[in-house]
Amino acid sequence: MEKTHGILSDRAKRMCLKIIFTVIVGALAVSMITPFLWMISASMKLPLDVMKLPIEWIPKYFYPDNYKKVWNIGGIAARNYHFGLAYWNSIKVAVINLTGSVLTSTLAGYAFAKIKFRGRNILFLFYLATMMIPSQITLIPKFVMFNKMGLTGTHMTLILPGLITITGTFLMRQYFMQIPDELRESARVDGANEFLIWAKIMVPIAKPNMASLAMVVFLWNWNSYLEPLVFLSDWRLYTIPIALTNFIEESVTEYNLVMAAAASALIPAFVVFLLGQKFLVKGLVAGAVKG
Amino acid sequence: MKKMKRFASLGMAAIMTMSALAGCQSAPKETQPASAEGGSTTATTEAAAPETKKETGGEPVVLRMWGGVPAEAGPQEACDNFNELYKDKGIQVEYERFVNDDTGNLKLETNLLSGTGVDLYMTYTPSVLTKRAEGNMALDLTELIERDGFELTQYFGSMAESFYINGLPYSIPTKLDQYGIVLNKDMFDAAGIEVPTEWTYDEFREIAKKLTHGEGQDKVYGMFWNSQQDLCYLFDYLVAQTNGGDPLYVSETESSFADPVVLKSVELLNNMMNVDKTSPTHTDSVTQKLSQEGMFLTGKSAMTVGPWMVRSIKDTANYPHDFMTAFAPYPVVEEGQRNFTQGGYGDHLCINPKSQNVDAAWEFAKWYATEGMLPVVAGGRVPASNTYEASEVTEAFVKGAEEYLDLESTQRVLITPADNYAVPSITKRIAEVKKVAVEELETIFIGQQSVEEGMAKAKTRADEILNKE
Amino acid sequence: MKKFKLSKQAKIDLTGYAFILPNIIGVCLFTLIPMIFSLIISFTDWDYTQGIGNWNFVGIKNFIEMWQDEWFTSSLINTIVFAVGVVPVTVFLALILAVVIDKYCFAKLPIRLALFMPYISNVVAVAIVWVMMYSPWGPFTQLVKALGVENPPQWLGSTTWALPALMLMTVWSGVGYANMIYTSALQGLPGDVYEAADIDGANEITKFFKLTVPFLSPTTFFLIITTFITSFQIFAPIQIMTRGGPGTSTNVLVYYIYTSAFTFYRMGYASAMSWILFIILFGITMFQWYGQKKWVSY
Repeated sequence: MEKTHGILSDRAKRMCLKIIFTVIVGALAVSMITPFLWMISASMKLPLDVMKLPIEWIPKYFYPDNYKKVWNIGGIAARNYHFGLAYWNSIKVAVINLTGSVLTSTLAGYAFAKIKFRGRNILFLFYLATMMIPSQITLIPKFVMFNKMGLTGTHMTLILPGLITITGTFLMRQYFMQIPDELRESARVDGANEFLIWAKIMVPIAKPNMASLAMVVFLWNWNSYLEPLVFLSDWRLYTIPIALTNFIEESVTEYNLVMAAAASALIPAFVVFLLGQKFLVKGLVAGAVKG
Repeated sequence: MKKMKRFASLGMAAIMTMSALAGCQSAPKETQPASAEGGSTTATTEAAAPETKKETGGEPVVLRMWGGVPAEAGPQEACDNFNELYKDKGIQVEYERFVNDDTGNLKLETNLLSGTGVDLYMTYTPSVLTKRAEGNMALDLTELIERDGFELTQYFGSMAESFYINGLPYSIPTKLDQYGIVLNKDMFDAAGIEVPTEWTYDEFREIAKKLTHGEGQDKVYGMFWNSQQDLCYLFDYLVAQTNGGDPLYVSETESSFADPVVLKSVELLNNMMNVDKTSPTHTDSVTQKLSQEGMFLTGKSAMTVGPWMVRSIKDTANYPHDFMTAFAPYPVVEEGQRNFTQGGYGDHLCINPKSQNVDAAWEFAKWYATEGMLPVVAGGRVPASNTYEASEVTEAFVKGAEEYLDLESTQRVLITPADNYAVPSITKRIAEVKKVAVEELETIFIGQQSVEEGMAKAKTRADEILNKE
Repeated sequence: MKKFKLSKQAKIDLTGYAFILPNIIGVCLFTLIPMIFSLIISFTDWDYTQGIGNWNFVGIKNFIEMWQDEWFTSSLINTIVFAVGVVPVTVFLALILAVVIDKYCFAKLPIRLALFMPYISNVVAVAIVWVMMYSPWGPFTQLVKALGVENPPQWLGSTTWALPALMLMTVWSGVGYANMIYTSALQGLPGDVYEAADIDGANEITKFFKLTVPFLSPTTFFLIITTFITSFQIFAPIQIMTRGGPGTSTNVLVYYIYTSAFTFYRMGYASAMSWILFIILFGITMFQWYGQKKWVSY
């Protein structure tokens, strides 16, 4: 009886602790999204209400026309920013790149972690080294190269380099490093070759990590700024950040519109993330159960 | 052996996957949904290859013209007019807007260097024009001019030669740049102040004081020095009137930052922001992203720098206001020091030397400079060419804003050409000199160093750069 | 057909190369070749408007000049301050949060989502929102006022506070990513080891330091390196929010490299500086790489 009582009080303690921590971390989490809340609030306001003090978190006058102007719905916008097209471009590039780079990263990450080929460490260090090249400086050489390849003014300028990610390879390698060698050895005894081990054993265990990587790559691409800025000159090819930059430069005076544009650029990423999060959690759970 | 094959095929497979992934993207142009919405009204565009010559019956040549002005502020209409006029002559033009800042110009220049995507483009400052001419990004127009007898001086007077680079014409000047202080005439009237035609720094300061009133959110400033954009502009305009076209330089090897006129000008700005508080401070400008439209057109300031605001003044849908706007020249340090009119030619229309359609581009350039500019005049740009009637220019300039623009001062300050423009001649390491000036000015205006200290530092730093090998 | 037999090691080599081949091709084409190109031009006076080939070799002049260039030295210092401030805070905060959320929180998912939101947000949108946050009428300034500071600094308009303001924003946007990576790594914690520790009567703090931290050390290593490198390469927020100002207070290395290349057109000089940046990052990574053998225990 006494013991049971002890456990119960432990539980109660734990419950208390959990509530306290949830409140603290929850408060932090709310403060993390404050900028977004403010953004959405401002995007619904009339221009002058944005700067009003004290801050009206819930606008007195809702003004959803801001979004109509940004999206050029109903013909009240001063000009068309082609946000829809920019979305499509961004999604297209991001999806292709995430598929390619998750594949290449998982292959190479596995090799760097588990296959003891000669020159592995040197190559890997070289890899790490290339991660540190400031992209600003490879920009003009890349531009010249794309030009010689006849790719300037197409999305290939974003896709070809985007099919591999060094950070992703690094991440997958670190993950595979944690997987005990025994798994691989036992499969080898059964006569499986390296590719089969990779495909049948490693990839299934690594799925949660691949999912995280896929999401991260998607977001990198979604948010990529400098390359599209320089490589894409045609508005028909613009991705979201560039469409948004254009918007900001042209209407910096109207914070409400700028905030509506910013929100428009963010919301799809949030939606994709929320959907992906479900998949991600599922993947994590599945991996945990199998592992 | 078997294994080896497998590995090899695995490698191949990987490559193939990669190229397959790449492959499905190789034709992005076709997959572009056609833009049904308004905006670009040129229908014949997209697919036309730049190589197509304008020979008989073939596809029309589609020129790509890049400019920094939003399409709807005139260029689109100008291009549409051209397309209508030239639809049977096999030339069409498509307008592409770039934002005239570092990244926008970078984008333009990378395109120029790669030789694709641009046939004609606008250059907005003489220093950039020099850069582009010397960097083989602008075509030397000598031959074309001789071939067609299109003497620039015949249309633009002898000032056209001031914008030659190393003695050669690399551009057609299209716009007459004239600058002025933009002022709220209703506020001047209410305060009983005449629209000034000549004023000194001191008089300007006093007027700004008189026009300033209120506190906090309701404060109305006498002046708004829009310091957010480029601090150099501000004193450029002031200084050029007395010192001429190179306000940043004394010579190729010496900066002007110790010049009394420069110091006086910086002091004027500093005093108005930080002593008189008749203008929002630089900090306010930056942290609140204050804009001229947001200040002047909402009645929060009685004056601001200009005249590039004409576009917004006429846009009463986006910037509703009901007062009359007038213009005045920038003030000078002391009476009798107005030696120059700042301005000159701007909107230098250049042809990309790598363009496949040089002849067609030249055709458009001539047409635009001498006939086609009226739609952009409505957007506030005065043509440089003498082929336009003064009356039609004025009419187009104020069109749709007769109730908002004071005709007399508009004409006097912005439209009627002067004969003593301050024409720039020195561009040596100008980007670096400007950066030095901006940094020191910023530090002065936020109150961390005095005008003397800051300008002395600017002088040392800039001179060091100018004398570096 | 003669029988041709590869040695065991050769087979392993080929396998390994086959796995990394797509990656290597990509890296060579889009990083290595441009890198070599930039190395060559770092010894020239190339002005990129002059076209390829129109340059003079100037030896190591660029590499000497930069140390007398106040812009370069101040940007280097700013960058170091920035990274040294951002990296430990981001990684440590993420670690604590990951563990606390994993063990002690209800509503794990919404909390994690909230933390991660800044990271997935477009940098352009985020930067412009933060400009407003830091403005005198923005929520951040109002919060600081509510906490009792009567005259809060003019964050982005102050030479003292602009850099810290950017650092805060960077931590804000980066902590969710680190947290997510930690959370994902936490799923792999060996439960039996913890059970054994429970039986031994270890308390939570002990378990955190003796088990969790060592177990997560490869992840920490990864995060420190990547956060450091991204901090050293901060660019877009600077360009959108401050343009290096006021004065030179937020002029960081990559922004100055960009300015030199595309505003001053000094491509050779910019390349030389980017190589210095590269050497610094490489040195730090090597240091950590060899150091990790000591402190990464998994």
